[in-house]
Amino acid sequence: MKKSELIERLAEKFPHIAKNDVEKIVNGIIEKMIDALNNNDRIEIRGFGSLFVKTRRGREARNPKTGKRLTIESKRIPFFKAGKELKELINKNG
Amino acid sequence: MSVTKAELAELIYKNIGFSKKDATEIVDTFFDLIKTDIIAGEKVKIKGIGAFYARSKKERLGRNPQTDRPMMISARKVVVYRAGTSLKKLLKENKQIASSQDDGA
Repeated sequence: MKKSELIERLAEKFPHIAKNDVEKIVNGIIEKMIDALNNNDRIEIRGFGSLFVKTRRGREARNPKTGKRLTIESKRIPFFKAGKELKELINKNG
Repeated sequence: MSVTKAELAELIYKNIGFSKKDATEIVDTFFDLIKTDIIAGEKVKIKGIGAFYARSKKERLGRNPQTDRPMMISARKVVVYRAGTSLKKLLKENKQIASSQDDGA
């Protein structure tokens, strides 16, 4: 499922809301989630899971091919942890 | 502070302008639809965030960390999340925000 399909399916479930508006809402949710992660805030969706950012420290490393030293800068990586309900449901039906 | 469904719903009815009821229901349904597809074995790709999908893991021999005894870990499914390129890029470019955090991994 892509974002466009998600919008379509939502629009079907909320026939009293114009599809344009559903699109706006979906984009609003996604933007808010991205903003939160960018601010290092955690997103916690009951029943679904949580998204959060971890920071990897920078480190000195070596290029294994050339043996040259190089600095790997610190970086932020987003993670997802499935919620209890999702974990249970996914293991229920085969 | 964490972002919750309630907060997302509030954003919708305040900024986009819908009833609180509609906003709450739409946010619920948004995540329900994603969840249902993951459970059904479909890959869900949300531009800006990334992709979610289920992966099967085989049974394997593990160890109880408390007793140090070997034990079988049953076959199971797990949800995999792959961050989208745009999100990775954004987090990389704004990494000064993260300076106060340590390595949580």
